[in-house]
Amino acid sequence: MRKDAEAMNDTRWPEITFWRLVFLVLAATGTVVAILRYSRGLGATTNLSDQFPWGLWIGFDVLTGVGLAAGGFTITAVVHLFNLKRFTPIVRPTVLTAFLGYVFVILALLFDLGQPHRIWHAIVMWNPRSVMFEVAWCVMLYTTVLALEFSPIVFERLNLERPRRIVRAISVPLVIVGVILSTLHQSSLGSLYLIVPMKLHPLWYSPLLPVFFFVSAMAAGLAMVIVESSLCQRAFNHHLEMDLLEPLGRAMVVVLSVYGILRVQDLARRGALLGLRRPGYEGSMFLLEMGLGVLLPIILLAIPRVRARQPGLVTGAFLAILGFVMHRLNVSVTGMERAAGVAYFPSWMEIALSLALVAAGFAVFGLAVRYLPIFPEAPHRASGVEAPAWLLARSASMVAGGSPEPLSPPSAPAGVK
Amino acid sequence: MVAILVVFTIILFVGADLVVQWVRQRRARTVLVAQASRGSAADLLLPTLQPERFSLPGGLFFHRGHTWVNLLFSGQVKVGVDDFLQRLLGHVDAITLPPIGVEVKQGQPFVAIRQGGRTATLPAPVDGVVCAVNGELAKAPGLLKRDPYTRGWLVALRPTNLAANLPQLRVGENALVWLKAELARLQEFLHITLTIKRDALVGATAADGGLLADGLLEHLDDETWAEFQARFLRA
Amino acid sequence: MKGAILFDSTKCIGCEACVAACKEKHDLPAAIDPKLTAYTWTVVEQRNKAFVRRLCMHCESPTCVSVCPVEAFRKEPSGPVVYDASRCIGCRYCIMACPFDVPKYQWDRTTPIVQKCNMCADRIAVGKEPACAAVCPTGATIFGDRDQLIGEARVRLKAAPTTYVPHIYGLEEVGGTSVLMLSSVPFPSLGIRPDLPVTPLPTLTWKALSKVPDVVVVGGALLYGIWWITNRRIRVQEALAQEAAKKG
Repeated sequence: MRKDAEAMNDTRWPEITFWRLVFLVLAATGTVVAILRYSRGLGATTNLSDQFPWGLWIGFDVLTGVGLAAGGFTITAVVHLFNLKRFTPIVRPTVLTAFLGYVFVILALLFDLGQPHRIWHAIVMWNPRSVMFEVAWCVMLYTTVLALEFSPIVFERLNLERPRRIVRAISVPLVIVGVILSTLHQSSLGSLYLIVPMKLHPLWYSPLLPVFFFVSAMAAGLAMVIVESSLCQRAFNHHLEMDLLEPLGRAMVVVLSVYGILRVQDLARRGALLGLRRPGYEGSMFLLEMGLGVLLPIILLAIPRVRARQPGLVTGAFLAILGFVMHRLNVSVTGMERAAGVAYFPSWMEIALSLALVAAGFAVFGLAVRYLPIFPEAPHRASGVEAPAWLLARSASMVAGGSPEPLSPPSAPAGVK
Repeated sequence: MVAILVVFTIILFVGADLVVQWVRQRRARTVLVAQASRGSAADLLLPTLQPERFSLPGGLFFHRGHTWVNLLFSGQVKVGVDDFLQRLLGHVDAITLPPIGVEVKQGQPFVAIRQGGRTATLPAPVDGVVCAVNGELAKAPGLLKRDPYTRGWLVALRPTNLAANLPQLRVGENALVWLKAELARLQEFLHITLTIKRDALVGATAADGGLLADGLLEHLDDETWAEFQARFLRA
Repeated sequence: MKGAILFDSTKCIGCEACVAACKEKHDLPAAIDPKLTAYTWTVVEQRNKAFVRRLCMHCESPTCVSVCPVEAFRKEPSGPVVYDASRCIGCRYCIMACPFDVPKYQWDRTTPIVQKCNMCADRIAVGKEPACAAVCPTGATIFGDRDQLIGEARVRLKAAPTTYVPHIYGLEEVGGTSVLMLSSVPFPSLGIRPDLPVTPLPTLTWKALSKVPDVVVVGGALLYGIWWITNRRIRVQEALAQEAAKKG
């Protein structure tokens, strides 16, 4: 009877909800813009110019997109290398987000590059002294690593036991390679701007740019896991695992504090803080970025009572993400405008295409959740069938084995978080 | 300005989503009220209340208050909550376990589960003396939900009256029959409650407008919650 | 010989013969843009009653050569910095990074390429001087060996110290350029950046990039070590639990 109901659900034409409508509109405009961009060229569709060659597609789609996908390497490292296995339930959605993030970064690049059909040149034409070359290779390799890390989920769905076992066998080296590649290219996105000391505003230019990019990406990655979990709860009625997410909030306080202190110290040492006494355009943007996007989330998440509740935790993480987005765009746009001598504001087509890419990301995520085992379910849901004997036997042996002491904390009563 | 634009766009979308959610909840509630007036609100739950959706390991003994007993080789027993309660419960904020050495009686409350401002007490499935508690639950109360039959166990007891206690529990086919009856009872309970009190259920709707059993208790008002506890987590 | 161009602003009369010659040599559209574009590789600007040429400075350690991920730019031993359009993927990092804002993009095309002055590298290869130097009626733009031109510039500065500001632009800026400039007015008033460091810009990114092998080796070892330790701890615990189970 349930099967029948489900079958009916599947064949039924999907209901038109608000967000599905928004998606259709965004996807349609995005398609039109994509056609225009390839038929008319960059100049006709974007507000880019010789003075401002990198705009929204690089600043948001690439720099921000890669950073927001940083949850992938943080969480896999925590679970597989530091062996904090209780975070296992969030590995799959996080790896999926990271993988989709990188795929969409590459898609965005295919729109932004002037000669997209030659994107493969980076594979055969090497310039090891170029930061861009290193980023290209790391992104390429890391996307492959993410695809491999994600592949067991697909194999699981298709019941392919052999390939699944092969990938599982190399999972630890895979995670190590993934972490190294991420460290390299997250920081290298900052190194891209090391070469423009006289163009990037002193509030953002620093020899430490690669460090800033790396540390802030870690914070953003953690924040994304939190916000994403709450989005999943809302979209798929999947329960928010507060006991898993709360420690991530705590970790964010540490990472954000390190980041904030490094930034301020660096600015003070270079004397750039003085310019903030009378903040102009750049100064205001900087204060907004650091105040709302770094300081406020630190304060919010540092308060245990705020962090322990979903609204507080998600708000803190959300603000940190906004701060991260502001940082990347301040580096790539705000900080470069004065030297360029022109103000850059994206054309509607640049905005529409970016929105369409994000929307497509959401849609693919939704489909993946629907058709692949992304969220862990109760491992056995058969009714009255035989007990998962091995599980019960193993846990039984732990108590049966001898004194129960190792299982109980010294001070009773236990419990009460 | 571009940074402002992007941040503003993100906030705009999140804000729109909040509005969409609010509208959907309101609409869902009106639908529910309408359904309830036709006496069929709880029918919406039907698909998620099928017995095959619940896990029921064969070797465990179930108490009617939705706790289970696992007889161990050592003579001790492990005790936990069943999938039915775990599902309905939704998120768990904290679990209070009895101290080691305390004696518990079958049917008497021995564990408290807190969710928001509300607390459910669970009846002990057998008589016994607490000889171990699951320390991991203090760190991660969510274990109870993720793994109710193994890693989410509550306490280990040294049973004191097992022979007399066991006949009160259900195992194997009996447990399945009992689970089916409980699901029917739940159905009826919701049906009646929602018919009498139309706003007892606060927006527990799935994306398609149906009701979800998962976390259902989170969405009941305090009175219905207490009523549920009295009827289902009984001695 | 390492070819270079010496532009002496005091001799320039703003006739734009160099611009026209450049356009003709490279088959560029005849219309002259007021600033450098993909279709105008050199311009003559009038500022503070002086004329100044804009063109690629052909750095000794060029930023564009270092940033290009596919090595589309190359510094020729004979002086010019040249661009191979067939390699270019269109990332525009060169445009963004160049300290002199020289590389320009064909924004009006669907598959654009970067364009800039190439010092007529093909002419230099056959022993001729660049078109702009060949055509200049006053000798404001001359071509020659970089060291000899530096000597020539020093001679001019010494001969007329009151005429010139005492600076050979391009001698040390960003590690030196193959286009040298002399002027009677301070360079900033000609719209030429005075604030460039003497160290080549590519060293800034190289400092970060050269750490990549260290990160890979040290990071890899560190992460493997962490995994080994945590994993072993769990194994030990499991073994203990099993032993305890056997005894019990």
